[in-house]
Amino acid sequence: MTFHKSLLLIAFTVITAVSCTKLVEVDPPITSPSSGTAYTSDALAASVLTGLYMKMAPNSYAQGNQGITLFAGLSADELQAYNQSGASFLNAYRNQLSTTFTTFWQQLYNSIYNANAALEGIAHSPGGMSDSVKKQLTGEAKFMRAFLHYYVINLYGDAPFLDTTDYLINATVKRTPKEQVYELIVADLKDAQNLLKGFYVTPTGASTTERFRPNKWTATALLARVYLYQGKWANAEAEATKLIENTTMHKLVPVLNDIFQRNSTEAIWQIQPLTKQNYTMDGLLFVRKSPPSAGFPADLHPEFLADFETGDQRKLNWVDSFTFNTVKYFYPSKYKVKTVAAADTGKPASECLTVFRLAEQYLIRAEARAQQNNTAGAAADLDVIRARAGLTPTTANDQVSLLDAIMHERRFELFTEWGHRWFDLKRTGRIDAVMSVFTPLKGGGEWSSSKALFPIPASEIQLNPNLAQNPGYN
Amino acid sequence: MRLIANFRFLPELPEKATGPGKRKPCSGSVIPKQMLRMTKIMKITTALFLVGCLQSMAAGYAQKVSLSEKDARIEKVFKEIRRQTGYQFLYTSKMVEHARKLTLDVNNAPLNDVLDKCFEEQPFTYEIKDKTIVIKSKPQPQQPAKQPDPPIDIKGRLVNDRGEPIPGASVSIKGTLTRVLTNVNGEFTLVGVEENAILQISHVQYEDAVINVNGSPLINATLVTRVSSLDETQVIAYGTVTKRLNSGNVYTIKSKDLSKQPVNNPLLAIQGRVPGLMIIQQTGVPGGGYEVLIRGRNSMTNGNSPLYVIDGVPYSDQLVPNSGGLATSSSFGNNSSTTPSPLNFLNLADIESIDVLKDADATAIYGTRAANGVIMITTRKGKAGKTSVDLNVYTGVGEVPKMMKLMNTEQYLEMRNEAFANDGATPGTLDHDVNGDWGNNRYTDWQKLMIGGKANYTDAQATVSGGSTNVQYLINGGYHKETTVYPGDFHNTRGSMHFNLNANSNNNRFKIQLTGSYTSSNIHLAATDFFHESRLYPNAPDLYDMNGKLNWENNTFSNPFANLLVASKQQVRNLVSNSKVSYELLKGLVLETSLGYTEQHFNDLKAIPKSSIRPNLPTIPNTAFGFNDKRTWLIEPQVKYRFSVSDAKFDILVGATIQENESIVNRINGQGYTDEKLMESMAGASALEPAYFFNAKYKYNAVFGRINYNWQEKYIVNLTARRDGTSRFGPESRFNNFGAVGAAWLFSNEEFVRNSFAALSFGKIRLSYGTTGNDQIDDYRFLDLYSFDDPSIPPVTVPYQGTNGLFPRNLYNSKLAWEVNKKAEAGLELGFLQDRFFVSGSYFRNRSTNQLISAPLPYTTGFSNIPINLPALVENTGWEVLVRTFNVKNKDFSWVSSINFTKQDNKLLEYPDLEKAPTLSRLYKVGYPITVKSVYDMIGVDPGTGLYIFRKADGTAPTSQPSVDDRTVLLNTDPRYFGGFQNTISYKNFELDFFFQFVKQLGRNPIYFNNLAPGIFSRFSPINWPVEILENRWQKDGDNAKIQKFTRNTGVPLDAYLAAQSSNYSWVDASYIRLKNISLSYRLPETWVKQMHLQNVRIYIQGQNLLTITDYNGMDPETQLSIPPLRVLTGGIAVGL
Repeated sequence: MTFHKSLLLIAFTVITAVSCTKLVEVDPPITSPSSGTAYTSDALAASVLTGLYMKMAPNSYAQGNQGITLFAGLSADELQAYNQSGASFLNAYRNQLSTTFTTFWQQLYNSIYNANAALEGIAHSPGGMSDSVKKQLTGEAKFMRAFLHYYVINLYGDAPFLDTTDYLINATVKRTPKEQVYELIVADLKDAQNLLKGFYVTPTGASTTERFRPNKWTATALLARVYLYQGKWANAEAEATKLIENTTMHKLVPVLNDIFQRNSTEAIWQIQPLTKQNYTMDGLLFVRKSPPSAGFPADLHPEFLADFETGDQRKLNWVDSFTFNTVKYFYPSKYKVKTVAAADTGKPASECLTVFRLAEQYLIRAEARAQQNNTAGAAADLDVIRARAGLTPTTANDQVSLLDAIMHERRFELFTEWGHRWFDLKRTGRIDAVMSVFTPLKGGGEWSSSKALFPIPASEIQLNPNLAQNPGYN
Repeated sequence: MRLIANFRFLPELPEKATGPGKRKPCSGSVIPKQMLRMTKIMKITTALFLVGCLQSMAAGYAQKVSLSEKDARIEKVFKEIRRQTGYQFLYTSKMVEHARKLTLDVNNAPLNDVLDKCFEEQPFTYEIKDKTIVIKSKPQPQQPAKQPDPPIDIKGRLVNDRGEPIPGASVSIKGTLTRVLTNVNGEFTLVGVEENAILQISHVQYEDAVINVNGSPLINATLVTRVSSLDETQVIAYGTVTKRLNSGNVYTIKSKDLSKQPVNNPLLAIQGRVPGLMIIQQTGVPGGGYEVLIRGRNSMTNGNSPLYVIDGVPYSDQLVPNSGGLATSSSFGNNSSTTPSPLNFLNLADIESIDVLKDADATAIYGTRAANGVIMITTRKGKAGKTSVDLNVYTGVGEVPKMMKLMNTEQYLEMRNEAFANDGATPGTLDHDVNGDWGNNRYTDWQKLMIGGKANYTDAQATVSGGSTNVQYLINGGYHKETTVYPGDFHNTRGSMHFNLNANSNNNRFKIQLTGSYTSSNIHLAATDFFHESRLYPNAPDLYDMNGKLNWENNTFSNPFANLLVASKQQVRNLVSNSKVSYELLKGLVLETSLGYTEQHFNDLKAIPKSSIRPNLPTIPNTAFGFNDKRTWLIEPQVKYRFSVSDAKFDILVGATIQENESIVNRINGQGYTDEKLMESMAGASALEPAYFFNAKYKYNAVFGRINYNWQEKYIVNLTARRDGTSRFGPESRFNNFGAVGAAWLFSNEEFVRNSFAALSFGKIRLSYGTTGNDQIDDYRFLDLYSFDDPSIPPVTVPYQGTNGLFPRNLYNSKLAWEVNKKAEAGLELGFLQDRFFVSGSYFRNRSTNQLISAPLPYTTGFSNIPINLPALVENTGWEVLVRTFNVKNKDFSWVSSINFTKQDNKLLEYPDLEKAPTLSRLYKVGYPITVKSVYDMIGVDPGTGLYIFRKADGTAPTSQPSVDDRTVLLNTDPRYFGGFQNTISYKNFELDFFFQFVKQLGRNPIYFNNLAPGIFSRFSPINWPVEILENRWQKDGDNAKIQKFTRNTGVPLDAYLAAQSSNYSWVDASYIRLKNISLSYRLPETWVKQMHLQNVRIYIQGQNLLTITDYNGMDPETQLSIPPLRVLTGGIAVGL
């Protein structure tokens, strides 16, 4: 009996003496890591960045029926919508987006959170990660944060630049002037250039031929673009030159129809498809096989088609048509595959969504040179692109006419790619002149400058009193 | 009135001293030999159980006595006689003071002869009452004109059968007004008492007693505890208490009430019987779920289930954690949230009592888990005594009590043709019901075919129990099987084993107890609730073609019998076990540790073979496999100290809890089976696909304490406190304190009350207030988890660069904490005429705040919401009344009734910034119940258009297409009041029990249940209509109708119908009174039983849901949208060997 007695006493003392805190701590479930465990190995941490790229593969801000390409294209003088198209597409087409349109704001900030979570997680990694992978992933996350914010401010104007995951801060942020946001983007991109490798890598840093992760050159490409948008011509020229001169990594692809192929040498960053049924959502969206509907809402605008120069090979290679009831619909066909043929489902994707490509860098440098009055240099860069399109060298020979020529070239080289036209109109101040003609044509009534910015979601303004709505949407 | 005062029993009487003659050989037996042999075998088996456990308990007592004594003290002789016969002697030591010594030598002499010898020439005589030999003074011979003796002073002391002093007892002298009360030590003094005075003693808790003074100045008496239901044990958290002394609100149901019901779930057995406890059966499918609410809903978005505690170990009422779900959940009714109740995996026959703990005083010691009350389940324990073997078997049938009146083919086609006429249209190629594809003459009563079968019930239990004073044991084996009313061979079968072993040291200081229940259930149910299939169109095609294959009638309908080919199976193994070790270190100081372990394996599969898929559907044959495991272990060391300081009794408890739960969910889908026969195995699949995996851990840690102070059984104060920590909440609010104070005043123990209200036998006022918490949220909700999938990404077939992505899924909230529930209660309990009429009432007010909800966030945070604690305030108030009366109580006939009644109200008192959350502001309204339904205000049918019209909120013209803002009518769909009425009548060997349950509530009107308006035909989601929609329907312009016109048009008419579905017309009175249970049993007379060599035999019939009185126009007011609770009739026999 005394044995039992002492056993009980010992058990009792031991148990009550154990500190409570230890007893109520649990590790996150093995099936879902937390911020505390996701950054304990190279592979897991890399998966967080991979997740960011994966979010660009289905219909999202990056492509397809929720893409910036579609909405910016509809808003500008590029795409055409129909009465049969869904309400949000028609609203964008008529430059009348409503404050219930949340897609870009929601998705971009969600991805910005992921990038910040990765940055914080890697910085506070309790161990288990190699320095080289830490460096690479930090670079990728900084690049992504810059990339995402770039689209936020170009769609919405002044907007919060977020660099924390703290929801108490993020829920009450104010809008930051665009110029300041650009400075922060530049800082992130410079960091990314330093941290990232000069070749394409696998999630954990091994070299690969596949261009599915942003690297130093991707950061450089965006930096060149951002400098251009900022009017820092010399910087823009310098960054673009780095890319153009690095011919071992990137070269213009002479055959127009090969540019958007997987691992194309012109591509600076591509997104890998996640399914065997579809390669790009833009291909699925634009390649027309049925008359217009809410599911397939847009084609190239007749005015856009009419503006092609005669003999432009891009019109032949990048525009296709579909006839229904004698009506001919012209659609962009940079991506050829709508759905993968049954025979091809087992094969690797032949074409991939291209986020950055070298042709843009030539046009950036041309514009930067023109702005710096280097007309010869500008014309030379411009003619590289024109030559590939089967066009004769430009006739523009002074700064003004060259800038016009470059703008024209951008319109036909970069159409239905990431809203370039819409952003170009805005940054060059041409938007009012162009859209005051075009918006009435689209059935959108009178144009006003405030329509250059998309509305911030109404729910956002309601939940964060520090956020002000863009003019014209209250 | 039993007169035993001033007497004492000889010590250490065996609990059950059986009478003489018990071992008489039977004569004139009519029992067949086989049965005798069987009985013998059983007895041998029984004997085997006894080996090593029992001493000479089985030996009987004889009425013959053998004695050999010389000059023995009479007490010694009494003792010996008692030992041999079991007869008790009742006397005071004073009475035998002058007894002469005895010399006896008898052998096997009759008891009476021996007694006569003993009492020869003694100053006293004896009388035998029952089995007690009462010793009395010899009547004094009349003495002429003797001077009265001078008065004497008396000192006395009253104790109870445990030798404890009885304070507050009234001692009065018969025929005088003299009356005194005993002090704390049970002592009293009377001055100047006649020598032959008679003292009358009374006390609420003890039987009245009368003492003859007989000139003795010193009187010590033992009072016998009055047996009252108030003194039955109630199980409370970490202990027991009597109803009399409980300062909290606890309702106890004993196994005798549970066993009268042929049900498979303990919840069903207590439905309607407990004030304040609302149990809603979700479906009549065997094993289906229940909604269980103690005093309403406290939490707006999280769990409102009570905490279940089985023998001290918490038992989760959740089958699987998080949203993993079950592959087979559709088997348990149409509502996807309906999952089987884990309490099905307990055997009702293993339960000794169920205690429902409601107020803060009773529940606060369970801290974070007690906001919604506690249901304590105590399993059966072994008792010392002869080994007993009890068998109980019943069998019976169940059926759907009432079918709906649905349209026959003629009525249905009338409706359809009228719809075409109203629309000016003619049937098209897809209108198979009217275009001749199906023919117009076929009629099938689908209700009869789908749910008109008979469910069979079989239940068998065998218990062996017994033990010595040192070791007691109980083993029960059980089997329960229920089939369904569906076509096809479906069943829910459970086998179970329960055991209990108690041991204690000779000095009773060391005790150990081991209890366990293991059940194994095999559940094979239909893949659907055939309630739906019973609404097939009346002229729908035959189910089988001429070859006996499923008929799809050229893909024109969904053949409901396809569900018979789908396998939906579950295997559940459930272990609940605990052990308790205690040691009494000093008198009153007990160290105790309980250890608990529960384990549940829940495997399920749903196999959809090709033959069950409509040929033109793209569905791929597949099997979903689920493997779910749950484990809980618990250690609870405790110190209990009981002591008295002068008038006050203290009962102190200090303890700690360490608990850990682990759940694992694995779901896998298999495809590409070469043969349908292999579909229940993963091996037969050519492709296995991971579907869902989850692994959750939950840790819980607490210290707790309780101080119970009892002053003279008049004033009781009960303080409880708990400090809880759980892993479910953020590090900043992981720990919290809970506590309660309860107080009771037993005013019937006050002298002035006793003097003024003689009829009042019991009176108690209770008050309690305290805080409890609700932690019923998913694990890890505070943590910022990442997952390997994301809702924005469709299933990935080509991983990105060959690897998985990882996606942040929610925000981190380090402050996430529990919901807090503050409970206040006042109660009054009154017993009259020795508690023959007993009434108790309580008023409660529970306020829940810190509501754990998903608060909307701006997207800049990365997410649209975050789980936070919002200071929204939900109040539940209510009244509970319980009346119990012993209407008749005599030897042969007794009749006990009890009625309980609960009225409760739920109200959302505060919700900060509700208007800022548009979706929530449509759901909740401040000042209304949290279940409030905002519905359209329907005016009726527009005589012009023939469509339903609704009032607009802005006062503009009524419309058939109202918008969300027009939902202006707020409906309270909570039960308004409910209760039950029970009667137990026994006459000689018969006992009749019947129980009515009543609920006042609103329910869904079946006319507006459906997704399509009357007149529309849908090939694959068929819906036949109640006949009543034919009456008073709109047919022509100007009709003042109740039912809108039949039309096959979608658009406005369908919008109008769907709006009607969300209107005030869609809710009708669904109140009911139900004869929930009736039980009639007959105990075979002892003489017959003896002849059969048995202990007792009882035969019984039991009925469930035999009668429902309601105005509700659907199938059943309780389940409404699912198969109703079945009407069950069973018969059985219980035998004690």
